[in-house]
Amino acid sequence: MSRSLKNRLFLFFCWGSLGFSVFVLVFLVLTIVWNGFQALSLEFLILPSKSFGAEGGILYQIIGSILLVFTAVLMAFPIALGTAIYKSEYLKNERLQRMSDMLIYGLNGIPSVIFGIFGLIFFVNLLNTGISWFVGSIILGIMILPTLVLTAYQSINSIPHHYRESGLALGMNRWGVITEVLLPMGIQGAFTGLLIGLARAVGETAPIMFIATAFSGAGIPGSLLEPVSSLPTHILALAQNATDPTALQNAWGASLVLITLVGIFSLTALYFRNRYKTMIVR
Amino acid sequence: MFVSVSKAGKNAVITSTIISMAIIVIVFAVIGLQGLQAIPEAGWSLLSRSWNPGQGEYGILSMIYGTTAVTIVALLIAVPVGVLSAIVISELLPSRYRILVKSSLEVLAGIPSIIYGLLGVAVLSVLIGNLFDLSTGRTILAGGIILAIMILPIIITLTEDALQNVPSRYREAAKVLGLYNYEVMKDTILPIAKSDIIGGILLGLGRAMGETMAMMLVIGSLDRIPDPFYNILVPGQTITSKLGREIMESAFGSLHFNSMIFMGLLLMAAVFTVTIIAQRNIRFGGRLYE
Amino acid sequence: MNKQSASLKIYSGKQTSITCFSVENFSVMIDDTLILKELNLTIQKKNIHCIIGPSGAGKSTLIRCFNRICDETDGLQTEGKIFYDGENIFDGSVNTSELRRKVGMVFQKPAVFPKSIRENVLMGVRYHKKLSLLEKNQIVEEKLRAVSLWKEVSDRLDESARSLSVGQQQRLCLARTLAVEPDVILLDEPTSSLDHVSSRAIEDLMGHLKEEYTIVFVTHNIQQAYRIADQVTFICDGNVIETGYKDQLFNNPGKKQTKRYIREDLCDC
Repeated sequence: MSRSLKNRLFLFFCWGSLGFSVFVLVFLVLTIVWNGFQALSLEFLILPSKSFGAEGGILYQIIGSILLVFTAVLMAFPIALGTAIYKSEYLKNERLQRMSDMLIYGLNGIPSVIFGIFGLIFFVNLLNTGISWFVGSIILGIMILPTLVLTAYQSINSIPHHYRESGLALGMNRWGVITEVLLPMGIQGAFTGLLIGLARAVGETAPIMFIATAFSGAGIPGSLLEPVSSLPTHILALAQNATDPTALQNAWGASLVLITLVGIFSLTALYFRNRYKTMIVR
Repeated sequence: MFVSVSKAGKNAVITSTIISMAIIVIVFAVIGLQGLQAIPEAGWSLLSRSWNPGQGEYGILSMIYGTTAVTIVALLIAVPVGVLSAIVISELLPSRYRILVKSSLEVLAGIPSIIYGLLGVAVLSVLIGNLFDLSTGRTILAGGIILAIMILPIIITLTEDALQNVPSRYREAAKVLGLYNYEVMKDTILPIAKSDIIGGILLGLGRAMGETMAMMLVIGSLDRIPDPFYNILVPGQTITSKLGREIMESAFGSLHFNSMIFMGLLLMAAVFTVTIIAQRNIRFGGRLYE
Repeated sequence: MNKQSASLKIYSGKQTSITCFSVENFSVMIDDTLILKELNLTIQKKNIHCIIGPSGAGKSTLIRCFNRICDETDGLQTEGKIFYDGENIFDGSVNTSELRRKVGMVFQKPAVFPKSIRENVLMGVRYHKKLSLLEKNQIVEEKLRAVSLWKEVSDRLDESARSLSVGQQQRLCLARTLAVEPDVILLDEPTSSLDHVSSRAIEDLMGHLKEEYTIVFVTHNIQQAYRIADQVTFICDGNVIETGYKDQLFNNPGKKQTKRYIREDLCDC
């Protein structure tokens, strides 16, 4: 085979692959949007569900999802920020840095179902909390912790050295430099991580399906130890009845709403990240 | 006054770090301790092929096989398509399209897995069932294809980053010698980017192994190794799907329960190892997922 | 001590020829590389003392030791002493925050904090002193006048400091440093990032400031040193090659290397 022919074959396969990828992913999004649209109506969005989801709307699922992820982020963000600050500004030992990196990346890769059964063993059974939405938030918080730590760390660590030194040269101590110089400059990047964490947490099913959610009968929880409904678990339950057309249609509707939430968080994060990058370049 | 605030601040960040580090240790410990309880009770029978709680049989081999099978199918599809797509994006596409494509891929990587599961059960498995004239389309093949689609964005993005990190002087040096694109890629660029690309593939591998929701809906939930073993047009079972479906049906602390946790422990150890190896090769780039 | 400080004593015509810094057998090693080799040097008070030399000679490393900001460099070790105000600043008991109040520093790239112009000026001083609102306003106006920025920014003190041009930002950093009322101002190539006009503005400021402050000014621009210096030290490859009054060093340098560097901007130590 001539060189030129090999090259042309190669390019054919390359462009073909890209075309295939684009086609698949566009098809995906269109299917979700098309099917989901058919299920949407005002009632769907603002009414609670009835008859095990075969009728009615998904109001409580939306509320439940938002409650779960915002609480999770509220708990995880301070810890993540503290860890990022410590790793960036205080920790000098190289071996400890690598070890903490390993632990953080390791935690990030753990399958979501493992978090679910961890919660099941540790909280529901050992600590006897029962099915509790708050425990669900804790588990989600643990799951997104690596993402929050890594974005906050990168944001703070990438601030050029002469800012720190300018602060120190004025006689500030290290904590002063952190609070007055580094945090104001780095908080926007850390905030991007927070949004990414929200986007990821809102779509998760496995961590919460054993320990935080109930399919029917769960409204707005009155205490920390009550179950709650959520969009992803609702979709799961409906999908398991995929043969029933109404259930299926509601599943698509809930999916569209879920994707919209994920999309809002993600696009906001992308927007902030690009703005932040141009600021630093200046 | 400033001294005490400063000390309090430093203690706060140290505490946060300790909490972060402790969490993963605790997770491992809890899963490990619970799962290992299955060993003294069931011993080697855990590695048998038959899973039959009613008769006290807890062989997890079928699940291990299922996870392996869908992962292999997924990689066989996603790696070639992903790497070649990344080559186009990095080397052949004009730069104003690159940002659009990359951002879209990142957002797509964020689609929740349950929605992939829904697509799998409502669209793909129906398609496969009709195409191959099967009684059910929920098969290992369906699982593999869904996983391939899920990990495609990861592989594309990380491969593309790897290629971008190769300094342009290598490309230029090869091109001025008169090499075609194919030869430039094969002999110059890909070897340099190889370890980063492998890192990306490993991350995709880890994600595929650990995927739960899509597998629960699409794999067919049949606790058996197919016969012949390479038959992917039949239902199967993955570790994650089994856990998702059955863990609530077992009594806490029973052998049934512990055997499943043991499966989870094996999975967690495997994914952790793969992730750590991958991490050595890749720098974190502020992406939306990782 | 050595020929250099002897010649300084002979030529001293100033009233305040008292030593500000005294560097004694001072060496710096960074990660197994010897950067400064047993330096001996004296800096006089209320003087503009320029340190010149080729890139990599160790000028920045030296000046960063005068306020111990060199501590921030990983892997840096020192030997020998630097005396300021009678004390060895490398002694363990020294309070670095207080040292840095007295010995201020302006960096090559202006690092304005993401706050208003007013807050930037006050950033350092409010750590060291409690100030009333009146005192704060006084300081802001006084120091901005001292760096010739007042006319340009007096109507927008509460705007973000980032909106200033690079030249203005650098002057703002200088005002910020002046606000803590130091005795010494260290400047590490402060005009390298600036255009010609802004550079000259900073140089003019040096002339006014030296009446109150001791100024140590690192530069790789020989003409600049000629314009502003009272005394000059030429450092190459971690050694002090020659030091003395400007006229003497430029017109009648003692060492061959000095002559070569001043004429041709080259040094092959």
